[in-house]
Amino acid sequence: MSTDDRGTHDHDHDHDHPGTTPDVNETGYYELMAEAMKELLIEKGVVSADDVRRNLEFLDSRDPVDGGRVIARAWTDPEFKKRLLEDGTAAVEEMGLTMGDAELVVVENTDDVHNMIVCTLCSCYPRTLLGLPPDWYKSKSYRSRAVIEPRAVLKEFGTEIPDDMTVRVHDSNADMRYLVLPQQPEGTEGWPVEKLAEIVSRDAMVGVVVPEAG
Amino acid sequence: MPMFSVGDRVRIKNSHPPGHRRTPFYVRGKTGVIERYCGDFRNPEELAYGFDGTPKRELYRVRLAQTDLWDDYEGPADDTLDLEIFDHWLEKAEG
Amino acid sequence: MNQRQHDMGGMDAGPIEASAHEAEPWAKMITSLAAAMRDHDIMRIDELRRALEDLPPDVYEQDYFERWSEAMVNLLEEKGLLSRDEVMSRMDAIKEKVGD
Repeated sequence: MSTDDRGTHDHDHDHDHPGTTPDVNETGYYELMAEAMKELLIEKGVVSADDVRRNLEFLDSRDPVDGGRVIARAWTDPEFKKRLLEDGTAAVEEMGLTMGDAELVVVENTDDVHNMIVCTLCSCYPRTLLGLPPDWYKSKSYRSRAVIEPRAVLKEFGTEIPDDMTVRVHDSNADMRYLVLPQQPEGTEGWPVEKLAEIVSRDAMVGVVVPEAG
Repeated sequence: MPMFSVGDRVRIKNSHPPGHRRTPFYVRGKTGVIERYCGDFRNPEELAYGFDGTPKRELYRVRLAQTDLWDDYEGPADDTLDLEIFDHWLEKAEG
Repeated sequence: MNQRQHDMGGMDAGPIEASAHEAEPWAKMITSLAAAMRDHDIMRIDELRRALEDLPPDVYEQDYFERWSEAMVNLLEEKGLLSRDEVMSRMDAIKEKVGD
């Protein structure tokens, strides 16, 4: 199929061809662009349809509940927790989870320390454990303010950390990816691992909230 | 033998080279402490332009005091900012 | 020495909008496309980040996956894997086929 039969002039978004190149402001412009890119790259043999499908399936299979299970296991298995804090990548591999090219650093909340994760430069995030990051994590507001005023940001999430506790912000700017190991909430002692995993939200593992027994 | 040890005071270079850098603006020129040696990784500054990023460089987690980073930081002096810095951006700091 | 557009730590910004939208199918698709290319070492995440950082400011202001798409087209063109013209033409063709 001929893909470039329109000559070699520039394709600005606002030039005048009747009924041609969709306007960037039109609904579905980026939908079309994504589809066009995919078709072209497959046709040109850069990737195969299978490659794309496999990656899409993997992406869709990622869910914060996987992270939740890691946390729940750390709460119920002190030896695992030790391994998790020493070498997060190896520890999650024990549970059949992979970090891909990245390494995992697990940071522990204690009575004295609260941890919070951000990527100021882009949107690095432990996707294999938590799925795609939420919009707010990728927003300018979070990326810029999480490092300079973490306590104010936490308040916006309804989390207030007293001044006698330390707030540690982790800027995920290179090959490490981070997971916050929250404290096990009061009233959940002795709960089975599956039930504990359910109360660990994605937001708690990013460090903007703390889990509750509710 | 890694260049730096846990606990070493280090200064992040106040350098502003053009191009793809993974040292955020807000920590350049600041001093902190080595929190851990993360291992050796391919240099993202090279990978970004199609080079293979080798030889690998040493990556460290550096811990900085928030009150050192921001003039009017609102929070206790103990609050910290941890991030990952490659060896070529670090130099030993005095004290 | 200015703080570049992507290097956001400490910049002035407003309140955080906590609403979360599930990524659209096309957004997941380009994410998968990028991942597939990374698997074959055709397009590295570092290159894509660099392409994002180098976007014109008005494009960088666009929504997350929109600017990702723009960066991808630019990077793929740089690598000689496709051209923006081809993408635009194909978009036309798809649009016509769908009968919009």
